[in-house]
Amino acid sequence: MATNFMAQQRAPRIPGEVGMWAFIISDLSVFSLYFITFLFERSQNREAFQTGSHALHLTMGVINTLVLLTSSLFVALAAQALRGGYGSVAQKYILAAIAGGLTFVINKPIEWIEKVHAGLGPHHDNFFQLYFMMTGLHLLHVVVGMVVLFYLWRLAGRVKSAPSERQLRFLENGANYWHLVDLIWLVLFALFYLVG
Amino acid sequence: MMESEVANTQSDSHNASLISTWAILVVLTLTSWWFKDHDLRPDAAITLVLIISFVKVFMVGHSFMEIGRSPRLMRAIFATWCALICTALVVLALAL
Repeated sequence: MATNFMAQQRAPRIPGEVGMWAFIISDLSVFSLYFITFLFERSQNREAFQTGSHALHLTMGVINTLVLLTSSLFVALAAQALRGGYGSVAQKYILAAIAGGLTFVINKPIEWIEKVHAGLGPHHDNFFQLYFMMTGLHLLHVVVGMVVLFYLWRLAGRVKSAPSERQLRFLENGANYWHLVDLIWLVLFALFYLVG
Repeated sequence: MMESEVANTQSDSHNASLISTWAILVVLTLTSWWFKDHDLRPDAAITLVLIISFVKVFMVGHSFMEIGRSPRLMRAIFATWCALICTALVVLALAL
């Protein structure tokens, strides 16, 4: 019986719903085009992109990356706890993930305001136009993700034993959305802060 | 072993694997920061930074998004997307 149980746990399965994966693929496709656009524009004016990248706060970029990675870890741990029926443990992990998201949501506008005050707003050049547009679109994803995390936190509060199939699907969809936000940032960080 | 014990053991080992993945992601992030701060040849630094980023993207998908536990086709599609976009970006960054 235990062997069957283990085999069932190890059997390949699609986490969450196919519809959610369709959204993830389309979102990644759109961002992939933005990544390509960034490097194409960079090829037209390397000097402006290098100067722009050097003007960004690299340490802040690293901190934001570490914050989102840690937040993603907490969501993954919450998913595991919830599957085991430990709703209150999952709630704590989700709260920690929300704190990470909140840190990012506060840090990003601070960086933007600093740049605008230094005269490096979206109208400065192509680098900053793409910087504000792409990081702005990403921040919108983070804000939506935090609303999703709030609903996951509420869901976790209702789970006292093994979650239902529907709860599990909602959890996996929400968790994967948050990981998508993390994944997109990893490339944005590399392009804007490191490649530049 | 009882089913609940089996499930707990599996959950513990999965949590340990998630934490290990996170630790590697942190190290890779700090490594790419190091590349930026040290004057490597620009082409080499850009190539390494982009490859490291997509290794991180792959790890987030494989481990956190549980693509590693999904059917073979889904794993293949994700790995191919990572490889294709990474190659396209490296080529664009170096060739244009």
